[in-house]
Amino acid sequence: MYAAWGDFVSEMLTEAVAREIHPANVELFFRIPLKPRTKEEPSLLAKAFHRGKQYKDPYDDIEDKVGVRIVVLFSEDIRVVERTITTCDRWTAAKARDFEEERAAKPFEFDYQSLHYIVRAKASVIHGGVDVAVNTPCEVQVRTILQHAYSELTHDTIYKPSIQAEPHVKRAAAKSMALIEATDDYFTQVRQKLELAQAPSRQIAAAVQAAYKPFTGLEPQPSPLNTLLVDHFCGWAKEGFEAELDAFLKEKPFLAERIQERATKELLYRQPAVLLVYWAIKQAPRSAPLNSPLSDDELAPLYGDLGLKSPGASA
Amino acid sequence: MLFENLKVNRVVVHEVFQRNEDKSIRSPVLADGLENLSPEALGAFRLRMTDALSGQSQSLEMRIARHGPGSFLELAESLAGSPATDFLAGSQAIANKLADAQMARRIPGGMLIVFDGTVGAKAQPFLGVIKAETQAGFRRSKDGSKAVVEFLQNIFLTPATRLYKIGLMLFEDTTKAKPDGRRAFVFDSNISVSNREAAAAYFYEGFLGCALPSDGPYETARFFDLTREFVRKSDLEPEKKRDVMDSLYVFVRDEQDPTFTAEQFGNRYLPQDMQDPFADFLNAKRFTPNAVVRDTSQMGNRLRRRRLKFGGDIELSASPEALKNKVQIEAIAADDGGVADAWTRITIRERLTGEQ
Repeated sequence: MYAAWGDFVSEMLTEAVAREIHPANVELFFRIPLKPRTKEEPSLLAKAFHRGKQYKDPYDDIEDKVGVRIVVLFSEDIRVVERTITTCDRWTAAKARDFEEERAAKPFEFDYQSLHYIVRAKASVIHGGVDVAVNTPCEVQVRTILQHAYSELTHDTIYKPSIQAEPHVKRAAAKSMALIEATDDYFTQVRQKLELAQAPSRQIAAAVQAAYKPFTGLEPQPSPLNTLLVDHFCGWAKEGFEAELDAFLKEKPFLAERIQERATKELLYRQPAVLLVYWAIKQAPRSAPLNSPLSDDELAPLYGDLGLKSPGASA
Repeated sequence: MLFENLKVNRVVVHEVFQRNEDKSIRSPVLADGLENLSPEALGAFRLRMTDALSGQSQSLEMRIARHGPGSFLELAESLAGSPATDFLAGSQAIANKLADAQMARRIPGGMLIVFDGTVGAKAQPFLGVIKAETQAGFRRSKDGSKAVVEFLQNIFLTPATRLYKIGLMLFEDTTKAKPDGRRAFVFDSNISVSNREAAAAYFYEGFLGCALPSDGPYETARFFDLTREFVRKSDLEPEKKRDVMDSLYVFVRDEQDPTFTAEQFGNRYLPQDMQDPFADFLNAKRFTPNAVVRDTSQMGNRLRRRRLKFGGDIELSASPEALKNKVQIEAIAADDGGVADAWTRITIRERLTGEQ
């Protein structure tokens, strides 16, 4: 029953997160595939007796008989997952621990960090042929890949206090946790800088993507070539590119025919970025072909369409 | 003129020959039908056209000199957009006209391609002719499992531009009286050889009825002024500016080719990253991207004296030759590397002879 509930929770969460982060790929977003794990009886009993907590009815009170662990790259992503956990209408979610709250409470400590929720079925569910009773709990742990690494390192010696850790071990672990937290800050900075740097080319990619079909009447088939083209030729797309591209295409409606003619045979003309290539050639016929991902021969027809001498032609 | 949106409609290929030894005409071999070219072939054909006609020093807009009955213009105009049979017959008349025009025996034979279509964003009709000399070459191909090398004769329209000449009549507005509303463009690799009269005149003059444009002096002076303005406003180092200006004097005054294009100057003398801005600048000033006949007759004093300015208040005026041979200018950086105290050392290998 626990296994079925764990499965159900993983599937619901995967779907919900996929919706939340669309169009990014949820399989890349989860750094480790979701796999619910049920606790074996012996470990369960050990936990009940050794944890130093008082359980009235150990079998019912222990809430991590089944657990789902979600590992993401950035601490910001944890809050995305949290939103999907708390907004699902199939279960009630109760926060069991929150590392940010723990940080605030104990600013000088660097210890195991994770976000834990206990989700309990609101109504009985049948999943995979198994009846899951109302109120069945499942623990959902959400952490970054860095936090995960730390917990893997220290799992059996620190978190489970059945073996007392030596102070110098604890100190070393605390140092590594502190470093991990700092690293997470840097990761976030790197991501922000990357996104900032990518923003213009992304805008341009979006602009040509939006313009391609209305202009040519063809369904675009973006391939890795599209990204290469955008990377190289976006240098000639300045602010206000969208409007300028629009005016450019209005001025040269015949380009649509040329793209249609060649699109069946050549991949290049099925890339939305082919519009950007035309644009760049028009802006800078001499410098656009330098270091271009397209050879002079491949560029020649585009030059010809615009009435320009092709880049390889002798003067 | 930008040869964008070039569409080729019909194509006929005839063959013309060198004259016989007694200088009589050897009759052209005339096609009896229109060519049916594959999309790839048409694509390559279009590329040859745009490569030749765009931004090359051998491609220029010409003045239409002859436009009466029997002229090329008249024939061309009756052909563009005519029914297929008329097009074929008319193109044969054009082949005969070319055979007539090839008066000298040293003029080689070749293929004459007559084609019509539309060009430009406004899709204006045109009629074009190409005279293409043939070449020989090799081709490697598979014969069963064996690779064989074949020798091919009589291939034409390869990218070797020196082997063809193009004439193109563009009909912008045929309601006007000839030759207004019509424009003629000629591409001929021989046009830039100094003795152009002998080399290529039969094609553009005898055959097409065109003449070199008469606005050479005006356009040459304009090119000089615009380029000087561009260099002055650019953010090049002062020394580099002087180098480019030196080159401009040489380019306009001393080069021997009868025609030039702005692109030639840009490619040869401007840094790579300034070539596109230079083209944009001239384009904005509506300076032609086609070739211009080099003629410095109206440049007056401009080529005779150069004036260099130092700071706000000092000028040095000299002829380009004197500047080159007798004056040495060195920029000396200030001790602290700043700009404010930088100075110039000028050495003049001449006595002071007076003051104006």
